[in-house]
Order: sequence, then structure tokens, then C-alpha cells
Amino acid sequence: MKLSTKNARDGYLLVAPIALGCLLFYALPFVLVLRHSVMQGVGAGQHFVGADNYISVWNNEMFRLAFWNTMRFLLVGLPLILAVSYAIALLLKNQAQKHKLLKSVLLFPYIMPVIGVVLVVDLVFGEVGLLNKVLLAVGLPIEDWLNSPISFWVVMALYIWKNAGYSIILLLSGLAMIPEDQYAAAQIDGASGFQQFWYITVPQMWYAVFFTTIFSLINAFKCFREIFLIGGTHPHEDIYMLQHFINNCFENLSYPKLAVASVLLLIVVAVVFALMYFWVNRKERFRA
Amino acid sequence: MANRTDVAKMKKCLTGTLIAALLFTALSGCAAVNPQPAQEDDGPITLRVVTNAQDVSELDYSNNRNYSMYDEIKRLIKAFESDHEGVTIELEVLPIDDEEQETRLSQLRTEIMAGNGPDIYMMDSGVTAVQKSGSTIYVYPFAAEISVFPDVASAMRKGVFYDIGEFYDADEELDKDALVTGVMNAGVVGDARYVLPLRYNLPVVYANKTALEDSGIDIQRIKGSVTGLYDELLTKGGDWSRCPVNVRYNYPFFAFSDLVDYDAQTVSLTADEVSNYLRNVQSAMLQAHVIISSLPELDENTVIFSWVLSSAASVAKTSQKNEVELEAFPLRSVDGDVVANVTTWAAVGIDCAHPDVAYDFLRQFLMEDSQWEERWSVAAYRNGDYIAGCPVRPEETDDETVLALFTTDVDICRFDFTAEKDFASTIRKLYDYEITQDGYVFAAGDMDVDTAARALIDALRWHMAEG
Repeated sequence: MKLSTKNARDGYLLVAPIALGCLLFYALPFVLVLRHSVMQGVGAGQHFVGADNYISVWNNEMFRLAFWNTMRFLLVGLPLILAVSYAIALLLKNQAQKHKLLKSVLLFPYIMPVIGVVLVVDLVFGEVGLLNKVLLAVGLPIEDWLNSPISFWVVMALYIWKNAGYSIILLLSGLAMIPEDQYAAAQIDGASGFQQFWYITVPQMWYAVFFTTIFSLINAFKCFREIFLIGGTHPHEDIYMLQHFINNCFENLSYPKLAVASVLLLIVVAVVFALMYFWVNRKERFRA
Repeated sequence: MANRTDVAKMKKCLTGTLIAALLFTALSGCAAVNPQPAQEDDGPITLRVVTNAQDVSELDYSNNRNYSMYDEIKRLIKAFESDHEGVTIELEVLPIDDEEQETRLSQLRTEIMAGNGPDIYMMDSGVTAVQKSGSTIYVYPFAAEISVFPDVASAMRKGVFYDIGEFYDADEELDKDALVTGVMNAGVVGDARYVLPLRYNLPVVYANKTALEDSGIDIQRIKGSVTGLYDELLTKGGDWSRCPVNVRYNYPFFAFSDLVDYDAQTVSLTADEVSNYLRNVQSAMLQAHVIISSLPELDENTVIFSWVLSSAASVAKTSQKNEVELEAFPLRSVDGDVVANVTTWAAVGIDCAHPDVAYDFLRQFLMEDSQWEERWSVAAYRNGDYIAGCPVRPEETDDETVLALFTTDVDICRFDFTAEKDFASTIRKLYDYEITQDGYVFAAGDMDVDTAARALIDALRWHMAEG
């Protein structure tokens, strides 16, 4: 056997376990979901219906509400968490190198049990929570915050608080890769702080920002756990997400609907991911 | 170093495998709507039955206020297996513990989705919760958070059940004239028959016949609809302490003939219809100064109340004891229809390999001798506490009024579903009460009628969108 063939064979053997796992637990289920999305019925009674399910789901008002809420959460939450994490990462850049414990502290909100966090949210924002007690004491009107449009912002604040630390760690890693002598040289040349940030930091942070965005996106979907514990299967309509729709469809045995919702969500996420990837690749072309 | 050609070849090979797997999986799903039953053979047949009927044999009957079909199911399984050699029926009873039940129901749904669903379902309808307290099992309508089929009517349209219409239509031994047609139609969608209703319930007005005739109330009007009942009592009822209008909100959807259109996936009921009805309800609750919380007895002090069909035997017994002539009639919907709901049903799973055998087993539950004899005797033992309606009309009973109720034609028969639970709890917010020495005293609640009506319509919209 030629060495190149042997190397190729050995390589594929090494990746085989993970590839098999991905195939069994990701690729194959995805294919089955795709199949469910074009079928009606269950089990032996399934039959092909083409795009009927997609048309039906797209015209479904609750799906549209869930889809819009999810997109709104991502469109608002991702830039916000990036901005907050970036700012904090820049501020902590120097300190993080000196105080290793700081990175661990930043992760505390991320690792806190979801139940405990939701309890605190309820204690503060619940109908008989701390906030309402304070407002009542000062004579201001009270509100059932978790069952009102404000619930969206409560959940948003929770998402940023919980996940900003993780994003900061990722961005700090990116910042640490930028050579300090570039900043020193820029300073000697009279560049202001903003100019150093714009011309040195930003161009070299695209990959870090890209990965942070991906993980923030994943964490945004994980936020469903908190929303579910706060609002149940049918929370206020402003925080009714695609995961609620999918979960409820599963309980109602509406497998085609949940399959279609999953596929449409995947398409949106894949398009966003692809656009970001090409953008970052373009920006990072100078490294090649 | 790996050769570029080798890498390209491997990539092509992997891509080809993936596309082949995709096509195979997609094409293998192109099955017929009506799968062909397994060919008859001489091999042993095993049918898997899933039920939530609990085993109450070890419990103290005098404390057990609800009748479980478990004994009947076991008895008929034994009889069927002895008559059909080579057929084994495995009975699975869903767990009673909330957490265990939730886990098992998730597993069941996954099995159904994967095409490994049970052969036979025998279930209480909708969101009935079965809970155990000490030696007693209680059945609470609308207390369960989850159910295998939150909406059976919707499940019928999703192809979860086998169309047993051909077996039912060809069954000449089954006396279909003896069945309450309106109830049996609950299991029909178009030309297909998916579900066999086994028990049902409907709201009934019980009255002291003599006192009612002497009261000046227009009896025909109160028999006409629930709105007529409320209007007549509110304007002419007089002393409400004799007239605890305790309409059983366990099944609040009785009040409406038309709720949702499953085929168009829309809500037929309007907020105005609900508001008008709830206004009546709230007026009645607030004007009825004293409500007796437990099952009332008809006497000279209690002239009229509404309850459900399943309490008919008990009410008849106590009326006899109190020497009151019983008048009883269905409480009709706002539109004047007799609306019933299926409380227990059975169906053959779509994945059943022997649907003909499964139907043979299920039809036993519609044969008269399995429906009434034992149930009347059990009900008598328990002072007639609970005996639900059954599609098979009884031929005789101790009380003619009770017999008439159990043979009443039904205009509309539905299955419970989760939105009804929301409605029941929403109605509860229309009034508040305190417990006094004389009983319950009511006052207006936090929620206004229009808000409650909109909440119900929203609940129905959610239900149709996700169902």
C-alpha cells in the first residue's frame, strides 16, 4: 500500500468513531426529521404530502408568532451580548492576565443551576415579587412582569447575565492573541485608543467574534429552559418561542408540524451561519 | 502525506453514501394511507394494550368513589384468550405517579412516532388525572397536566389509529340499534371509524317534580337550553337557597354545540357567545347565596340542581329515600343540543399487525352483557355513586327516569381536551367564595366576563395551532 493511501486510511479510521457518532445521533435523526416534514400520519399510516406541511405551518399563526419571537430574541440578544462582552473583555484584558481567578468568576452565572436562577427571577419579578413590593411602597403602579410584554426584556437580561461571562472568556482568548507590540507601535505613532481598537483589535478579532457569536447563538436556544420554567408550556405571547411550539406539537403528536418548524429553524440558522462565515473569511483573508 | 486523489475519492464515496441513505429513508416512507393488515397465519399473536384504568382490587371499595374499567378489562382479556387460542393480550397500565407517568407518556409518544405504538388503546378521555391517596384512588377531570392524547379527535385525524370501519360495518353480531348513535359518531371522521366510545357523560338537571310544577317555572324553557334554565331561574327562581344552581363545571364545554373545526383548523366558537354564557353563569353564582358543595339531595328544601349523568343512579336512590318524585332531563347547550363527552374510549393503533383480532377484542366491550349487569351491581354496592353512560342502551333499571336518561339520544358527542381544563379554571376566576356555617357564599371574582371569554378563545386558538 502506498504511504499516502495508508495515511489516508489511518486518518479516516481515527475520525471514524466521531463520524459514526455524528451520523447516528445527528445526521440520521436530521434525515428522519426531514422525512417527517413531508409526510402525514404516523407509523404504518404515513404518506407523502410534499410541501403541504410547509404551507400549513407557514400559515399557522402560532408558528409565526414563535418564529418572530425567536428571531427577535436573536436579533436583539446576539448584538447586545456581543457588545457587552466585547466591552467587558476590553476592560478586563490586562487584569485577566494578572488575575487568573477572574476567568473562573466570570463563569459563575453560566454554571449556576437553572432552577435556582429562575427562582430568583420569580422572587424579584413575580407578581408578589420584590420589584412590585418596592413599587407599591413608593406608590408606583405594579405589573405582573413575567406575564406582560416586559417579560421579553426580563428574559433578555437573564440571557445576557447568564452567558456574558462565557462570551467574555472567548473574546479574552482572542484579545490575548494580538501582539502587544502592535499597540505599542501604534501608540508611538500617536494613534488614539479608538484608532488602536478599530485598526488593530477589530481586524484581528473576527474569528474570535465569529466563535463567540456561534456559542452565544447556542446559548440563546438553551435559554428556553429558563423561559419554560418561568412561563410553562404557554407563556406570555412575547416569550413564546419556537421551542415552545415544537415541544407542544410533540405532546399533541403533531410530528409533521414540529418537523417543519425544526427544518425552517435550521435553514434560518444555517443561512445566518453561512453569511457570517463568508464575511469572516473575507475579513481574515489577509492572514492567508 | 495523503494523496489528493485518494482524499477526493473518499469524499465522493462518503457523499454518495449519505445521499443514498437520504433517498432510502425518504422513499421508504411512501406507505399507503391504509396499511394492509398482516396476512393470516397460524403463529401466536400478541396484542399490546395500554390503559390508564387502575387496578382497584386491593383498595377499600367503600372509599373508592370512582369506577375503574380495570376489572372489566381483565375479565374480558381472560375470556378472549380462552376463546382464541394462540392470542395473548399484554396489558400495560400507565403509572399513577405524576413523574413516572410523564416519563412513560414521553416514551409512548416516541414509540408512536417511530411506528412502534401499542396495538390497542383503552383510555380515559382528555386530561383526567388519576391520583392515589392512601387506600383510595380519585379520578379528577381536568386535573392532569399531560395525556397520551391531549385531544383524541385531533389524534384521529393524524392517522394514529386504525380505521376499524370495515370490521364494525361487517359485524352482524353487534346490535347497532342498541347503541346510542350520537355517542358512537364521536369516533367517526368522514367515512372512517377510528375510536369506539365506551363511556360517556352529559350534564343533567335533577328536580323535585312536584315542587317544580308548583313553582311557576316554565319547565319547557329550562329543558330547552342552559340559557333558558338560567334565565328562568334568575327571573322566577325566587328563593335561591332552594335552588343551588351548581352546574358542574367539570365539563364546561357542554354549554356549546360548536367549538372548533378540526378540518379547517379554526375556532368556531366566538368570544361573544362565550361572554353571553359566562354572564349568565356569573349572575347565577352571585345570586345563589348558598351553594352546597357536595352532591345535593332532592327534598322539600332543595328543588333543583344540575349535575352529570353518572350521578343519576345515586340521585334516584336518595330521592326515593326522601320520598321525592324525581324529574331529570339533559341540560342542553346554548343552541339546544344534547352535548355529551366521551369519558372512556378504545382504539386500535395504526401499527397493529392484527387489527381484525384487535377489533374482535374491543367489540366485547359493546356487547350488552359486559356493559350493564356487573356495573349496576357494583354501583349498588357503592350506593350508586358513579355509573357513567355507555353506548349500549340498558334494557331496564330500577328507576324509569334513570333509564330514560341512559337511553337519551345525543346530538353531539365530543372528547375532552386540554383547553377545557383552561376554561374550567378561567370560569373559577369569575367568582370568589367563602365557607360559612351554611355552606359556600359567593362574590364576584377578579376576572371579568369579557376577559374570561377572550382567554378561552385564545386557549382554543393555541390548541388548534399546536394540535
